[in-house]
Amino acid sequence: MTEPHPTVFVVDDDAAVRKSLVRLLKSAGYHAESFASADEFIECRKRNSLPGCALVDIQMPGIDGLQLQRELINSTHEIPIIFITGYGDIPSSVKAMKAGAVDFFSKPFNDDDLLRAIREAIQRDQRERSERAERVSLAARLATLTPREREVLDLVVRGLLNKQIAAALGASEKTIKIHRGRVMAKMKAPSVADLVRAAEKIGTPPGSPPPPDR
Amino acid sequence: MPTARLERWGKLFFLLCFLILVFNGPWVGVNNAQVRLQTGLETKSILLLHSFEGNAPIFLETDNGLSGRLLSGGISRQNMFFESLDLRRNPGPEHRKLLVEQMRMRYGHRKLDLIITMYPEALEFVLKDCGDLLPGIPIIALYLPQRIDVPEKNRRITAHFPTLDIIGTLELALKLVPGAKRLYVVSGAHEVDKRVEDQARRDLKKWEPQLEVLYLSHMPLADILTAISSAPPDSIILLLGFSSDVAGNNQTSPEVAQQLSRVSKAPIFGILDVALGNGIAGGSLLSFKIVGDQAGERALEVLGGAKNPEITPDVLVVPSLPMFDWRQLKRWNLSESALPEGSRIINREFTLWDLKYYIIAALVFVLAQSLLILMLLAQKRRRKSAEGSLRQKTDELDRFFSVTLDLLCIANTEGYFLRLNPAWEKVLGYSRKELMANRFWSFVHPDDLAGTQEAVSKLASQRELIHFENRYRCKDGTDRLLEWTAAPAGELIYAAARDITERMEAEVEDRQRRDELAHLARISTMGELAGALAHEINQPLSAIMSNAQAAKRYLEAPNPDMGEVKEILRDIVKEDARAGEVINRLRTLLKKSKTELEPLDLNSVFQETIGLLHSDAVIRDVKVTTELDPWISCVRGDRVQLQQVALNLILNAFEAMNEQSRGEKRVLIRTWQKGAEVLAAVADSGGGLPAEETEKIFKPFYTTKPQGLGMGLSISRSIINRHQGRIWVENNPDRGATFFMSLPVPADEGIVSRK
Repeated sequence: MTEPHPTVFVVDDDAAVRKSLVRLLKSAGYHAESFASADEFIECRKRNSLPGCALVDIQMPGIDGLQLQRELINSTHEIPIIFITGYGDIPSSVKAMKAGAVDFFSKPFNDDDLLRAIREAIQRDQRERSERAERVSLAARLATLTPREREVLDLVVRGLLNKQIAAALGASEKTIKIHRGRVMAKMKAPSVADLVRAAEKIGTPPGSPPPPDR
Repeated sequence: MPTARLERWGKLFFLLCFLILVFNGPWVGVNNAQVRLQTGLETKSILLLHSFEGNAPIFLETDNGLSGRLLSGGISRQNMFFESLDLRRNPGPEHRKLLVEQMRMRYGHRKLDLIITMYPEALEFVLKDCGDLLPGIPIIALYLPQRIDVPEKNRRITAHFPTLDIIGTLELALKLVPGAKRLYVVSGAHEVDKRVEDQARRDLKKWEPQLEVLYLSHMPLADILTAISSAPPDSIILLLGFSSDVAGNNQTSPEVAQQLSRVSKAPIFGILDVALGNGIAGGSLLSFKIVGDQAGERALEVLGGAKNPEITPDVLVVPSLPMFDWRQLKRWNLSESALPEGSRIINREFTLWDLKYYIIAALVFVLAQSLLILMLLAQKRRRKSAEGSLRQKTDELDRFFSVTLDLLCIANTEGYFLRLNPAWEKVLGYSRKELMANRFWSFVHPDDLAGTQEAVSKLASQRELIHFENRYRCKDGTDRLLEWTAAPAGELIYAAARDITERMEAEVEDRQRRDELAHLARISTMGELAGALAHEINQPLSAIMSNAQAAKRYLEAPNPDMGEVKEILRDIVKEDARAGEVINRLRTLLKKSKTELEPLDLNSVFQETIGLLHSDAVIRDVKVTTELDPWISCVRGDRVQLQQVALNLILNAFEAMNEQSRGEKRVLIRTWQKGAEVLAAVADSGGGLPAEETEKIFKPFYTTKPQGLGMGLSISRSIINRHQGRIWVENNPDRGATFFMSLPVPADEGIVSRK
């Protein structure tokens, strides 16, 4: 893997807690970086989105943990988050988990549990990162398609036959066949099943609404 | 002023009275002095000889007039010799002989300057029987019959022939009893009496035709009285002399007059004044006393060396005087207007008119005296009323002294009570006697003794009011706290004490109750903060845990980095201490503690509180900033209570911003000093307060929070009040409100820098 070594990002306003967490993580062989506030962390993520996970205290002055989570989800710097809290209230934890937190720990916590969660988070990050990378390459491939090819791809993914597509697009079946072959090649899909899976991964491609009046 | 004028009149009046006394006294004195005109007669000796018994009225009266005149003329009583020859009862020659012997014995060795004889028998005795014994001594011979021969040789003899004015008496009697038909002449049968009766028979001759004159001297007295008793009222009874009656019973004219008066139905007249006052109405009377007086006068002349008169024999004439008995005149209803001018009247019962001058004088005197008495009474009353008002005031003071609940006393600087009011007994249980028997500091609580003695010595040396407190031990062993005010006056101390034991107990109780309330409020606040506080403790605990686990992992590694482990352990200790500090603060705040004032830095109070509220601020997403002036002075206060106030103010600020969106919740805490005040302000960025609530929110049970007790600010205010400070709230110009508190800087506190 060309991926750099994963980092655990510790975000806590309490310096002592921060320091102890970094220490614990290092003792377990992780690379750890600490931030005193959510802002600092967001700034850092903006500069580079290193792999790893974040260990975030929910209660922080300024932007708190849950807000940070929301901001990261909405950015391209998404990273799995494990929440820690000194004030373990259920509504916060539910909110955090629903928003996709890896885990939620009340201070003080067991190191094994935390490290397991860290591990899991890093794996999830790796998975997500590869998925994300795949999505990015698929999207890049998708971007190479002509608009006609996009229409064909769309209809192929919907499971229409060449003849049906030709009818829908008002072209000959032969032409459609050629477009389909080009799409398969551009998308580097060995089979229609692969093409469908790739299309699913990138979601409904933008700018491909069904033709309005055909 | 009327009182002053009254007093001036009073003085004048006293002066008048004094003058009356001064001038009255000498009048008496002048009279006495006038008597002593003649001098050089003290050595003259006079012999008075009564022919008969000395107690005969004629002699007594004559002696009386005579000795009065002689004494006033300067003759010594020592040199007056009275002898009664008693020749009537002892007519024989034997007696005469013995008398001569007696005279020789008594007067042979004496030098006599004058002899006064009464009745011819005595004159004869001197001249014949004592011719060689008492030779040449001048004689005044009283009561001689007209016909007697008075020898003119060898010595000077002044003769007195009494004139019995029988004619005059009858004339007067007829004037008073104009229609009288009968005249009863009462007379004795003695020789002397006979002489008088003889004269009467001659003198009365001329009335024989109109008056039936009855002479009664031939009857014994009893018969005379019977005769008189049957005399008709229009008769006149004339009493002449009465030495003895025909039966030979010796009598005196006054006695006979009395007896006559008792039985007579007609007025009795007489010729001798000895009968006057004994029943006779009066007459032209011969007064023996006047005879004596005149004889005395003549005797003084003789003794004084008056020359022998040209006429011989030397004669003393004493006329009869019209004299009457007023009572008898009234008895017989005889007209006073018929009396001749110059009549002497005895026994007069004076009418008011007669006494008018006396009465007026008496009235003036009585009036003056009454006035004097009135003045004195007025003065007395004034004094009395002054005394009364004084007494009343004293009584009032005494009453206040008795009823007051305070302890009042007068003591001396020796340490003894001199006077105590009853309140002492009530408060201390000792009797006043017990309290006064010992020095008062023996009742003072031993710990307060020094202070009390200092107060007493201060009182002894300076003359101002002082205040102090001490405890007195009661009889039952309990102590009473007394608050004193005392002022010195010479050697005395006037002091009032108030028993403030109950008040102080109540204050202590009150303080305890307030402390308890504050404590409960703190507990309640802590309860609300439980979550945040748990977080505050969790932070170091969590750091410790992580550090410890990291250390464990390092140590499990094949080549442990001991330097790292050491650093971890140091951090663990630090974090443990941090947790411990939070717990300590909590414990302090939760502890039930008494108010303890100490000098403290208000900044540190706020810093500690902010530290405690850190987690809560984080949870609430409140940004807390501080502007604490490090140069403010120390204040005196109770750290826990002031932290409680800070806690309340900051929490209130937090809660005031619940409705604000994230990132807009800001609290600014400032401290600064202004003059002798240290101020703190907690400003929030909330919605502010309605103007009318800025005062209400400090009232108990006033709350705007659904779960609030409404005690926080009320307790804060009571705490600040107890620190002599102020607490108030103002709305900020832009948004939110600011709570201010100010505390006084103690006079001796300097500026301290922040630690």
